[in-house]
Amino acid sequence: MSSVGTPPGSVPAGNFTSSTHTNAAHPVDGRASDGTARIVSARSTPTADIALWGNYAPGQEPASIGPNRPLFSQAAPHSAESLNPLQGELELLQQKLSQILDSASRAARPQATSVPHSPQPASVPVSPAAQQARASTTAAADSPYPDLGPHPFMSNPTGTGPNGSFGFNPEYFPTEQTATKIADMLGGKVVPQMSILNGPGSPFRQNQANYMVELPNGRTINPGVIAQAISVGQPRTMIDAIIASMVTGNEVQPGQAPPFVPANRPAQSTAAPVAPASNSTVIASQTLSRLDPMQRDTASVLLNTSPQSDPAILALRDRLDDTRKMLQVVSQLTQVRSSASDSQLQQVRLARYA
Amino acid sequence: MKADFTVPPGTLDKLLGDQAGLNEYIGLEEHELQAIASLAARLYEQGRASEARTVFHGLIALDPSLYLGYAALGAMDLTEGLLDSALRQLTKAMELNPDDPSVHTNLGELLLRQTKLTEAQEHFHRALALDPLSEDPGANRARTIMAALHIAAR
Repeated sequence: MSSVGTPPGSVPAGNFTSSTHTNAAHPVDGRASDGTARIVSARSTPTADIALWGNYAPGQEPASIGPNRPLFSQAAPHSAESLNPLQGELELLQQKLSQILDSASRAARPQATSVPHSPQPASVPVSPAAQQARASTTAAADSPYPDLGPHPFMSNPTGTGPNGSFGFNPEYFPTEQTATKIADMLGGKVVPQMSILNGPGSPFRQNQANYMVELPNGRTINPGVIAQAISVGQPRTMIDAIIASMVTGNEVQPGQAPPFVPANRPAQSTAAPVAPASNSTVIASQTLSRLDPMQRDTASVLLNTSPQSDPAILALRDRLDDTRKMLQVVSQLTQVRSSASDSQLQQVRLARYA
Repeated sequence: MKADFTVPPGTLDKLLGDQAGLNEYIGLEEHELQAIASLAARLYEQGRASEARTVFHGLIALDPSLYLGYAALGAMDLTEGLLDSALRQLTKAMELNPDDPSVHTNLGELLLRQTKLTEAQEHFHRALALDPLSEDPGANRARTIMAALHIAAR
């Protein structure tokens, strides 16, 4: 091994026999008579560029070493056509991620209006009409929802990580009193849990427990989402859809849920208690519902007032954004490919019957 | 996508600790992730480098244990002369999968540019050893480079 290990312009020490002559332009031989490696003339040792491109003028690189180098080797390349059936789901995923990130951006912006400083639900911004509805909804004698009072959430729920403490979205930390009212409404019971950060051995932990609600159907939910919708005065169709989604575990669109009837009515109501909404009237969206844990978990750490406080949270936001952008590109391409495939199939069919 | 998919407990902790990607929540199958990588590779070959980069960054965000995103970004950085970034990406790719000839070839080429010739040759030899039948384009690129080095050394 000689010239390959020789930096350009230098002569190595060692068992090499130099055949360098001051005026030598080309090496004489690769081996000395005693078998030791003979180095080539240092002046003719190729630089990396010459080794790669040869003595070609700029723009005349040999075609075998062009700019399009293989990115990776695949034993069996996977056809991109296999993504075509996923096109719809990829688009939904992208929309869901956009929803999460847009909500986080809105929450991070300073409050410029007289809207109460409480976290907004991810799906619907509060409009003046909704605020009007709040006053009328909570004051109505036939309201199925409990009065949650002026402070239904913990004021400053926090977590601790390797870089110090950080804030949580209070929406996921209703007070025990709030949880009790929601549990009563749904016929369930309150169970305190560390529901957000609970990995064994994890350096991240939450400093306050979530007051969760265990439902009669066995599901355990965070009542904060429902409490938030009630406290900011979302339209009744929205609140009922949120309740139905959380009770059943399937995504229910506003307007698609049956009117909610509480298990235990508030004191001012005289209607008989009934069971929570059943599955029979739910319109399920399997793809969106499987993303609920992601939306819940990521929103719990993103929708706080100072995301810059923890690099891990910033990195999570970047990851969400990278995935969203990727899905946008891929879903557009698969849409084009699907259309092209359909068009080609159509042409084949037409040709067959021509 | 995986059927009957459930999110493992402690996923958020792993995400925050950089030990998992978003695919823990989404449940794409490995062959689907590889198909996405193939799609992005076609974009790159068509000269749509910006879109290709977007997809490879997304792949890493989805599953940081999959080497393909790092390998591709490293190769693209190398093409654009971003040697420090290329070294980081390709080294990570090699750690995750030491048996990809193209990764070794690209690492070798990068080290060659940094005049680390012995290390470069080690990677070229490794690429060749992984492709004894001379079928892999990445390994064949290493063969071509080594042949060019041999010619230049005469």
